[in-house]
Amino acid sequence: MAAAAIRIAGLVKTFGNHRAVDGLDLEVPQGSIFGFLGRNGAGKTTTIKILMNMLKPTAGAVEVLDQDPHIHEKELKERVGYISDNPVLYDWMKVEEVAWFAGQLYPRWDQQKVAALIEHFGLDPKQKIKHLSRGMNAQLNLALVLGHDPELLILDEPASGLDVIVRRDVLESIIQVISAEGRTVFFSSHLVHEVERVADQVAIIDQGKLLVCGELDAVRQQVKRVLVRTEDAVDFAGVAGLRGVQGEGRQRLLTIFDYGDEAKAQIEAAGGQVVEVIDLSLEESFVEHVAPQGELPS
Amino acid sequence: MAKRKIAHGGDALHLRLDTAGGVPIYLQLIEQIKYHIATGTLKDDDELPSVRAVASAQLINPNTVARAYLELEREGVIYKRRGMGTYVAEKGVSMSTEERLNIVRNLMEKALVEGTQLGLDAASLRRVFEETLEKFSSQ
Repeated sequence: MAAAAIRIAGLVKTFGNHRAVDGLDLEVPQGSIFGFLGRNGAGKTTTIKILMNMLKPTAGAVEVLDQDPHIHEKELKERVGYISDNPVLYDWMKVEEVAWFAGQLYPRWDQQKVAALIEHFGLDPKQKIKHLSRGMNAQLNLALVLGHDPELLILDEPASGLDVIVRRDVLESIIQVISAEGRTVFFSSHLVHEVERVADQVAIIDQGKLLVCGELDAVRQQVKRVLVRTEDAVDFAGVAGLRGVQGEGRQRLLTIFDYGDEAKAQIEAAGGQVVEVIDLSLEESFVEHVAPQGELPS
Repeated sequence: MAKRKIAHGGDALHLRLDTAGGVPIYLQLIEQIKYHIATGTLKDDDELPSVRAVASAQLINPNTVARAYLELEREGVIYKRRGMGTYVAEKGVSMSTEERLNIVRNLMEKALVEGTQLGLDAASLRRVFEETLEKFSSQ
């Protein structure tokens, strides 16, 4: 088995009565671009903060690059690049001052690369941080996080609330990191269609629990829509993996998990004829995974 | 033979990838590169942009591009030269005529199923085929 950049086992984090993370198990393979998906409030940020030793787990264990972040925090800071969901920089500093300042914190720091990225993003080195737009702030954070050439890049909702140009910069930066041998990117998002382009592994969590995890195409293809021709009053309730039925009368669209020969035989036994099996996009598949049972997403 | 180099950045290789349709990106890459070879945009021994260049230009995972290239290499559509790059192979060397016809046959069946469902008759379908072939051959 490939080495894991992140291991999470039985992780629980409670805030009062609220279980933000509820028994999460996850392995992020080294060399992957891993999309960590869930709705707002699913427990993504809490999990990431535990990985970064900014929160202590209530129970369970995490390992980042084979080390416990609680014990090896300082060493991991040098090996891991992290951008929080709400990055804050010293707003009285200028862009170039922040870049210099950040360089003092890392033994391995490529000032030329950071300067080149700042120029590439069109940022003015003399500009004060407090005068940067949200997008420019995000670009500056990307430049800084790439400056110490991290083995693992952890991004919490990197594209959220940013315009199309800056979202492109975010994706470009992810690809730049991963292009070096053995580097890993772990990023959380609720913007699923962006994840689909760039990720090769995904996990979907909901209410602090893992719903599904694996190669993107496998996760996507776990759910199918099956177009069925039938008579009026046929009931498909007994079909294995059925999650929903759309339409009435002679054509129905069934949403089915793990569709295969068994489900097909059951559809035929119920009096239906499979016309077409339709692949879903990751976003459609995501909606089916996190939609409450018995309720049809429109 | 003179080698024509495709500009880096992947822009010269026109690709349009779409994540809404449920078709895996590596399959879309394979199809579109084959299309460019079939239409002559890519010619024998043309160099393809590097995996990294395509990934950066299209904002997709480099592993996805590598997977598409590997598949195309296995099918004999492209070839790698050690330490150099990836090039378009001479057309169809590794595939028999029957194999190639079969690929086209499957695609045509799909189009015909779609056309029939849309209520088009055989005469209209034949006309569309002839017109498309005409347009294609004149390119």
